[in-house]
Amino acid sequence: MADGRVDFSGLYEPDLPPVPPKDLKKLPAGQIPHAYFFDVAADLNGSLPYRPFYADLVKKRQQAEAKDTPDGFCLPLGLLQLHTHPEPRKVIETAKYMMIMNEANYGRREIFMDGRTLPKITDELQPWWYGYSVAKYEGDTLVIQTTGLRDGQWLDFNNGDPLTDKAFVTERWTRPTFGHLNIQVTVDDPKAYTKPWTTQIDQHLMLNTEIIEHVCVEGEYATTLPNGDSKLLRHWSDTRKK
Amino acid sequence: MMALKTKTLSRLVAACALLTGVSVSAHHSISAEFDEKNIVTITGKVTKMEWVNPHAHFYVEGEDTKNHKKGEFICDLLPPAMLMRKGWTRNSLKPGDVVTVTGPLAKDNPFSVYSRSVTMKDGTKMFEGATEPDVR
Repeated sequence: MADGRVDFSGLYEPDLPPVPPKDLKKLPAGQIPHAYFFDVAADLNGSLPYRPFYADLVKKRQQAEAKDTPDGFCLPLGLLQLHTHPEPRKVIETAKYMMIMNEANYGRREIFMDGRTLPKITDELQPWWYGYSVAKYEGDTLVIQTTGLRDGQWLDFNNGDPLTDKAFVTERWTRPTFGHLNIQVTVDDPKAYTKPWTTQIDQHLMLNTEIIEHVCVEGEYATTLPNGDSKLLRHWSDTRKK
Repeated sequence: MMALKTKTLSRLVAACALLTGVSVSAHHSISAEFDEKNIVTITGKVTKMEWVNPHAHFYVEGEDTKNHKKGEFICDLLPPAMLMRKGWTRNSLKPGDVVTVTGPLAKDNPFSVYSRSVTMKDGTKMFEGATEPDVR
């Protein structure tokens, strides 16, 4: 940037594949795990610190083979899935504002860097899928804070790790080398977890490509019934003649 | 006649699935919808390509050589954006093309497969680079 700060603008994709390899080795205790699209802490030595209700919920989601994962209904990706999805995201940064446009499922985040504070969490505040985000620089590290999140989210597509409306998420963005981005994400969600925990995502710049339109819902209309079952209402292929 | 019977069966399966609340050919978790332990091979002629989100898919009038089922199969692919980034287009497959499709069969529809590989009669690998990773 003109003021000498790191400019994170660019088109990025994750270094890691979406699905953890079957022979993935667990990290030594105490090291920050890596987030995959399918599992937000795949190489964590041990388990995330779930509260009992959420430990059961994660187990149920896995037993159901992630059939209720929100993205499966073309609902927005979870906050961390925006970082781990294999499709690219474009970061546009100005002096006081950042936008992240995800190709996948038309994800879009606005991050304000103009000195404003996070909204107060009250009954009046409408929770959002991607919450409300503000950011500031600490040296060359961009620190993004997010709250006001919608309840019932999945941090990953397949593992079913929860994120609730009580969460406070801190992202620390750094550029270890030119073209590479490291994002450390700390989830402080006392409703779902007994203590804060941290994971990380590495991304790199993509060249000679741009965002491609991806309107997930164009091909189908799905809903969830009151009993929790999913129901397909209509499929695009049924609406056109061969 | 066979195709008609198959379409009727496919719709019946879909209708039953709707009644039981299970989605068919929807946007999905691969592991929830397809059976990784039941990898099948479909050989036949492409009848139609649908280049739509959330999953591009095409139809093959052919045979599941493992289960000896004949009819029209729906073959899922990744989202169009992911295919296009690897250079594939809505015209990469055309009606009449003879293909061999390999992948897991749907758990609730014997005429639905997730396309892990798509090979033309001359050996050309279609959608190469964009049949993996399995992200949905």
